[in-house]
Amino acid sequence: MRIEKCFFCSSTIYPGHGIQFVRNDCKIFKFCRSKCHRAFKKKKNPRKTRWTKAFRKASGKELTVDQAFEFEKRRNTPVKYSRELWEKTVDAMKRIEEIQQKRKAQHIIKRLQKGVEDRKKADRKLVEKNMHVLKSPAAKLSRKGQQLMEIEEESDFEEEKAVMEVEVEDEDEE
Amino acid sequence: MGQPSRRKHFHRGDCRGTKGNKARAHTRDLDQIYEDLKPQDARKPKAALPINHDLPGLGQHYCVECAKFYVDMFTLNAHQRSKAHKQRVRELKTVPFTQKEADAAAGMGSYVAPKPRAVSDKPVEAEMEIMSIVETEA
Repeated sequence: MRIEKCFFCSSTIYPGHGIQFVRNDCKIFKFCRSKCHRAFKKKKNPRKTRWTKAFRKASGKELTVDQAFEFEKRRNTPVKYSRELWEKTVDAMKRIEEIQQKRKAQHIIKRLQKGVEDRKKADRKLVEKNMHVLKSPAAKLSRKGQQLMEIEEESDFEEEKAVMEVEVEDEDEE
Repeated sequence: MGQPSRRKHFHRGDCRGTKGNKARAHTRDLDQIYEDLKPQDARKPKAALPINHDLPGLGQHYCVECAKFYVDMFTLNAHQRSKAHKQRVRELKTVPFTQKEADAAAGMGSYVAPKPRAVSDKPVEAEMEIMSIVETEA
């Protein structure tokens, strides 16, 4: 007896549950419920069906590669019962589950971080694009005008100064 | 006046979504077709399709990607220009889904997403060309 995984949605199938389909080339497909069986018969792709585990892993929504996933495996060699091993295994299972949960949560936080950054970038762009709402473009123009006036005044003063000097020199020569 | 607004039994013969979804109406799966499409030994002559009187067009015009028989060459060509066929060809570019992948997705080992792979035997031909060039040079 074995706890199987559904072909379509990868959930666990406990003994006495689900349905299995044996294809005419002897290949066995196990399904957890009629929903998965029907989807298989309709030739849906589990990688593209959004509610399956395969979709969530294939599209990077969940943690895929990790050392914590290497414990649960299909083992075809039976192990001789020993009480000590049994106790240790049960303890280890709890600890592994704890570690897995932590790492999965970390992965999701990391994944969502990108959205925060993107939103910030978009906001900044929006502000830059619509700057005229915050600051009047007329204000900028008038400031420019003031600067021009100042420059003109300066240049006039210098010209006058030069003219005066020339006049003074002329007077000296006379 | 006396007419009922809606007649009864209008959808009695309508079996959309039920008949085709029976296991007995199961057609060839993508993983089987993927195996069919694998490049065969080029030295072997291609076997002719056997004549079957029960199939459309005596079973002579077969679309491998869609696992379907057609009445004649004309219909087969028309099908191969269709959207459904092109979609199927696109689907067959990735490695088919297996129970092993389903297990990995459930957390039994690391899950590595499959990459799209070309189904056509063009790279094989290219390799053979290179080999022949090397041989002629040597």
